[in-house]
This record gives sequence, C-alpha cells and structure tokens, in this order.
Amino acid sequence: MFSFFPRKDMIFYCPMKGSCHSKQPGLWLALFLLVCFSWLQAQTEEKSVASPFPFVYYQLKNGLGVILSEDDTLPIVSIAIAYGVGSLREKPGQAGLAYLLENLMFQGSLNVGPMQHFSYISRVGGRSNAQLSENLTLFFQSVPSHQLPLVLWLESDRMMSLVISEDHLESSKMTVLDEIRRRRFNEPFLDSFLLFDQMIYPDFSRQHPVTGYEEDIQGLRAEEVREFYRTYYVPSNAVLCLVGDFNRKRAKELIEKYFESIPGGKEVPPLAELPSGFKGPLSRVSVDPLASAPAVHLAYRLTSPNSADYPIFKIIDYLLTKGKSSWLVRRLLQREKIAVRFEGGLETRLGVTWLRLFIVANNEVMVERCLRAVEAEISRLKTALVPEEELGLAKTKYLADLRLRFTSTLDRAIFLAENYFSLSSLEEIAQIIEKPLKTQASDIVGLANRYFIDDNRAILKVRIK
Amino acid sequence: MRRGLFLFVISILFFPGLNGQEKFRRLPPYPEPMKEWRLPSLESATLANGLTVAVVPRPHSPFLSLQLIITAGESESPENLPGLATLTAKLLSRGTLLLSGAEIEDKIEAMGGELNIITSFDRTLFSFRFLEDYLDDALSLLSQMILQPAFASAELDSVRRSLFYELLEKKENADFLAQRQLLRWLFQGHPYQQGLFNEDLLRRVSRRDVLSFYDRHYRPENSVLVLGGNVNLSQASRKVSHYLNTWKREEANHTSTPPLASKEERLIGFIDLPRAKEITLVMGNVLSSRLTNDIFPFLVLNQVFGGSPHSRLFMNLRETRQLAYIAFSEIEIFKSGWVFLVQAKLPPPALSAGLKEIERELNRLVQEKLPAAEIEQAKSFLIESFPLDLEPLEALTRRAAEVLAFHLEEDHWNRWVENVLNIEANRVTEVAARLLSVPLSVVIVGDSRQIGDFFQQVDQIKVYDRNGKLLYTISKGEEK
Repeated sequence: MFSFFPRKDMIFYCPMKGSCHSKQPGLWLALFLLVCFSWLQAQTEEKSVASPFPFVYYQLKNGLGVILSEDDTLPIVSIAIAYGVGSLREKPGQAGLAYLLENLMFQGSLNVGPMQHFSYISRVGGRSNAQLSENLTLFFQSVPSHQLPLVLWLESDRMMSLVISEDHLESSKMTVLDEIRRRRFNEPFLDSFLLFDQMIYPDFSRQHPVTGYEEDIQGLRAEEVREFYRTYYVPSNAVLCLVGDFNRKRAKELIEKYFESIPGGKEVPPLAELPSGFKGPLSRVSVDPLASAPAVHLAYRLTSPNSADYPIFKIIDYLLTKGKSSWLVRRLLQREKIAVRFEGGLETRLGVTWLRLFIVANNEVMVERCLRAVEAEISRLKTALVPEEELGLAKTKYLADLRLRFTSTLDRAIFLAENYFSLSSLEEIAQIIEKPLKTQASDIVGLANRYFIDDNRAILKVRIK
Repeated sequence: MRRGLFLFVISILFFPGLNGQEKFRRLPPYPEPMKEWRLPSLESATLANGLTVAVVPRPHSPFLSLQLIITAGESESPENLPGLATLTAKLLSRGTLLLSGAEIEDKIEAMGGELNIITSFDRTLFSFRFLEDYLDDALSLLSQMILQPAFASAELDSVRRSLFYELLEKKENADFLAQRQLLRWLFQGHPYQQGLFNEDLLRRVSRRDVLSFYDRHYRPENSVLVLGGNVNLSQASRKVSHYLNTWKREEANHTSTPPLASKEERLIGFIDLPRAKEITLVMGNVLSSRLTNDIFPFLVLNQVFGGSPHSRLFMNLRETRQLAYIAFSEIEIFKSGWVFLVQAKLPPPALSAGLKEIERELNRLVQEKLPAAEIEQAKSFLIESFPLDLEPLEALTRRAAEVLAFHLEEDHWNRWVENVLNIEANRVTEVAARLLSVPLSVVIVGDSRQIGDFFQQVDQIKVYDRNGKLLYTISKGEEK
C-alpha cells in the first residue's frame, strides 16, 4: 500500500536541485564557497541548563538548534521541530501561506508519500501533529523510544526535500479552505474575533488571521510557496527538541546523520518591531448571525513582552481571568450570574501585548452590566493593594500551570522549542519564568493605573441578528 | 574540463547529496533495540476501616494525582430516581459543614489543583490533581467533602439546573444520541439502564434521596484510593488514615449488579437531527458478561478491525472506498461485562454502501483466518502505544484504581504486556468466531431528508425522538 519511492510526476524542492541543473558558472562558484563555508563551520559547544528541568543544547554546523532532555520514566520520546516562521512573515495578498505550508508538510517529501508521515507514526503506536502561531510553526510527535530513528528520518526528509507539486498544492488548498469555511459557518463569534483583531492591530502583519484569507489562499502559486519554504524551512531557522528516554551519545549521532547534511539556508532577518499604531479609546458594534446571545470583546493595550513590567501582568492576568477563583470569573459567572461564558488572557503579537477579554452575556442589558463589572474589578487593582492571600493564590495558579507544562515529554519539548525562539539565551529560562513570582502588591497598583486607561482600551459589542 | 572535474570531486567530497541523496534517506530506518519495560509495582494496603489505599510511584512528578473510586454508579440509583448517583457526587464539592462551594474551589486552586468528579454506570470517580507539597491539604479537603458534606438544598437546585442544561445541550450531539440509544437497547432490563436518563427526570430527586444514597454507598470498604507521584505506600497509608479514619465502615447495603447479556435480536434505529451534515452511525452488542481473559485476544482483534487509523475499517471505508470520514471500533469495559462498539461518520449518500462495507468487514473477521502478520502488527501497536497511553499521571493512577476496584489485579497491570504478547493467531480466530456470532444492532443519526433512499431498502427501522421515545417504525419505506 505504501510506496517508499517518489512518484515520477512529483516536483520536489531540494535546496541543491536548482544548482545542479544550472549552467551558470557563477552559481557553481557560489555553491563551492557555500560548501566550503559550511565545512569550516563547526557544531557549537554543548551547554547545560539544570532548571526548570535538565537539558543540554547546541547547534549543528548548518545552524540547526538541538535541545536534548533525558527522562527515562517511560520508554518514550517526544520530538518537536519548530521553524521560526508564522503568519507574521506573510505579505499582503499571501495571508494563509504559512498555514498552507504547514499542511503541505504532511503531503509528502522525496522519500515519504502523501500522508505517510501520519501513517508511519501511527503504525508504531505514536501520535503526531502540528500547530501554527503568528511567529512559530511546530511539528511534533511522541513515539516509543526505539522508534527515534524513524521520526528523525521523517522530519529530516521534509525539512530537506518537501514535495511542492501543483497536485499537492491543490490538495492542501482544498483542505485548508474546507477548514476555514467549516469554521466560518459553524463557529459563533468567529467573525467578531477577526474584526476585533483588526481594531486593535491596525497593521496587516498583526491583524490578519493565522489561517489566512480564502481569496489569498486560492491565489497562491506553487513558486511563492516554494520560496517561502526555501527561506524559512531551513536548519538555521529551526530547532529540534528531543525529550524522553534516549542515550544522549546515540541521539546526537542520529541527529547528525539525518540533519547535518541539509544546507543551512540563508540567515532569516529578525522581524522588525512595528509600533502598535493603535489609537484609543475605540468602541464599535457588530452583528453576528451565528450568535445566540450578545457578547462583548474588551481589551487593554499593555507593555512589550520584553519590558520589566511584563511579568507583573502575568500575575494580573491570573488574578483577573484564570481559574474559578479569579475575580472576573467569580463576579461575572458566579456572583452576579450576568454572563454565560467568559474567557481572557494576555496576547502578544510582534512586540505588542494586550489583555483581551471576551464575555457572552445573558442579554443585551447584561452586556452593559458586564462592562461595568469589569471596570469595577480593574478599579480594585488601581485603588487598593491586592490582599497577600489573593496575590499568593494567583502566584500558585501561575506556578501550577507552568509545572503542568513540564508533566509530559511532549509538553516539555514544545516548551523548549517555543522558548528557543523567544529568549536570547536558554540559560535565562528558569530566571525568566520565575520573574512573575516576585510580583509585589504595590507593583500592581502602579501598573494598573498606568495601563488600564481609556486611551489603551478597545471595545467591540456583538449583537445577535 | 579540468575545472569541471575539480568542482565535481570537490562537490562529492563536501556534499554527498549533490549527485543523488544519501542512501540512508531512501528507506525508513530500522528501530533501535526495544527496551524492556514494566509498570511500576502497584502496592496497596487496607486500612482499619476497610478503605483500600495504593500508590503508583512516579518520582520526578511535580504533581500528585489522587483517584478515589466509590464503586457505586448510576446503576445503584433507584428505578424512579435516575441521576441520583450523579447529583450526589457533584454535591460533595458544593459545600461542607464548614466550607462553601466557592471556598472549596479556592482551596483547590491554592494547591495548584483541579478536581473532576465523574459518575458512570458502575462507579463514581474523584480525580484530584495538585502540587506535590499539598498532600496534607488535599487529603484534609477530601475528608471534609467525603465525611461532612452539607448537601444544601440551594446547591442541589444549582447542580440539578446545570446538569439539566448539560443534558439538553447534548441532545444536539449526534454521537451522544446514537450511543445513548444503542446502550438503551443493550442495557434494557439491566440496572445500567438507570444511567441513560433524560434531563426532565432530574427534578424528582430530593435532598432526602441524596442523603439516603450517600449513607448507603459512600463507605470506605466500598472504595479505593490511589495516589500517583512522588509518594510511597507507608507515607500514603499514614496520611490517608489520619484524615479518613473516621470514615465509618458499614457493610454497603447494595445488591450485586447482574451480568450483562448479549442481545440476540438485531435492531436498526434512526434519530432525526435536522441540518446534520453527516451521518453518525453506531453499532454494537454486549460480547461478554465477565472480564475473562478473552479480553486480550479481543483487544488484538479490535486493533486489526478498527482500533486505529491504519486498521481495516479506516483504511477500507475512508482511504480505499471513500465511504466514510472516520470509522473506528472500541471495547467499553464495565464491571458487569463488556460492549463492542463500531462508530463511523459518513456522507449521507454513502450510508447504505458504508453500512454494507462495515458488515462485510465484520464477516471477514469471523469467516476468514486472520493473517499472522496483521495480528503481529496489531500486538506490536498495542504494546508500543501502552506506555504512551500511561504517560499522563492521571491515566496511570486511574488505571491502577480501576484494576483494584474491579479486582483485575496483575493481568491488567504488570502482566498486561505479556498477556497481549502471548496471544496466538488461532486464539484470536477462535474468539472472533465465538464472540462475534451475535448480531450488532445499529443506530443512525442524521438529517432524514438526506437518506430517504436508505429507508426504502431496510426491512425495518425504528424511528426515535431525541428523548429516546419510539415514534414509529418504517418497513421498506412505509411508515407503520
């Protein structure tokens, strides 16, 4: 049933292929120099980090980041490969390109047929999946530990020689367009979330949905997709995180075997931090034909994630929105019972962080009451010190959620992959994740008064049809 | 010419993939040697009041998982009071003599914890996860919930209301409707049918009923408490005993649940769900009334048939014939027996062909000898995925609690892998022929306007509303 050989009509993109067929001597020379340069590059020295759990990290000669964390509790390994690219890298007219490429990564590569990646993993009792965000594309799997070579073979094949044929492109377009339409026709409030994105992020890069626009996806050409793959799906823009039961020496040998001969690719320029561009206060009303109850989006623009204030907002987020004991859940859903659904949290896109809240109210009148209730709870932050007991509770919830991310090998692999791209050095990881625990009640009063102001606020009321 | 040759040699030396890929990339690699692995030992002790306490060690876990099983579920609810077991269990976290429901929530969150309470046909499970430093706080809170529940009338109303809306919402869920109707047939005349109630029946339950159910079934000798994580048995027994020693032993006064029996008659049912875009189909029957060792060859058989995306059902119905979006099978294990279920989602025009194909695949299991290679692959999948299934601490601890509560012991714990590994092909064939000789009843949920043709073809199909009430029967397209 499964062919191990590529179909004859497949066009695969191999970073070396274009050069092989080129008649231009200049290209040969460039290639020669590139190869020599790669040869001269060396693997970086391995660095060890002990906390929050032990791991080592280094880079292969081609720039691929490698993070290894041993844990022999169970005979399993989890592997996450992350590429430092997401929807923020898309240009106008290309919204959905990153999402399409994520799907194409399962459509086959030089030695792996369409959807065989899933089959190979599932046949050995493993699980695999992918996720895309604004700035990261993650592919991950958990398998019995003796199947580590299989995963490395599969991942290296699609990193090196993804098939981007017209057939595969059309098939992927159909899949992602189906998914977008299915969500649009079935998910109440989806349109309102997209509209609110446009209100709080005035620029294209941040505001367009991760899944893209239908018309843009339909118009994407194979060459555009290949160019995106060639630019961003390269070792120097990727990290491989391996967590679980393995022998470190053997794992390093296998990683070197499968990944080191993949050309590193050009350096990906860092994303320029755009100014927010938001001018508040902003308030609008929309109608959602799928909604059965009125709702409201409310958000406050906060600081950049690199600022010293950011860790304090993590604790404010836990105080206000996380868990049954959080101030807004307790007030809106339990005490006053004026809402039927509430969700909220911090969201960062390209250097801009917002505290976003979404409330589905019992009826139109209650929308206003919900807004007043939120204002009252925020006012508590501004005018009085948060009692020590409540601050302690918020910190415990933060700590528990953090530790929950370390309970499975896959969670740890994903955690490391995400931090590889967001931190300047992985050695700082323990220090950074523990910063919010140092928050004092007095820090909160100051920040609340500085950031929870009308100029930073956006509101979108959603009415039923 | 020389220059070209030089470049060629250099390119071969420096980049072996240039003139064709490296050989090792062409085929999937062989696996490394498989490591021998065993589940941690399951140590247990019985406290003076009859409560069974056990631990499953996982030394580096930052959390502890506590699983408390009370072996009383909805089958113990009186005939006229369905839902009583569920309401009683949920009320335990809604207030004690000293703490309000909100205070209990605060305490749980202050431990970095989460508590879930699930009542099924034959058990009630308290699944409690918390940071490892809080074992005393967690046991103290659990003891207050178990030993001093307030059962306030206002909380009963509140729990009843939320359960009412939960059930009402589920009536839009095709999977729920199909499975509930099938189980109503399979559990007819058995106490398990008590667990398949409609939301309107909840109003009959009073506070007095709750108190009486609690008094009768929430007893230590009727319960098993398992702790998973960085904890040992002596520490666990000492602490559990400290907090729960006043839980009074009193022989639980409940009747033993009779075994489930297979249904000889094959029924076909339909529930109309207007605007449903796909057809949901569930088939099944009770295959065994006891948890005998037939379960192991049947697990292998199920894996060959429909246990995963590369099993026969999925590959045939979805990949080869494109008759279904998904098609799987599973085994549901209960204290009184086990049920074999087949589930599929199909496009409406493919219903007849899809159903025929599922039945053809079922017949193949009985009539054709299963190829040894397929059996070995199924065994290998089950054994290899076993540790992955048990990676979440809750899953590992819950399995231990179920093994102890239902007296499954080593066969389903440390000998599980061995039991699957030792299954031989003829044993699978023998079990298939014996157990699958009973017919599987079918429930279809979908938009009736889209499957008119199907009604014409079927000899008899019973049409139910979403409450499970029989509306009429269709015979060869004629309503009767």
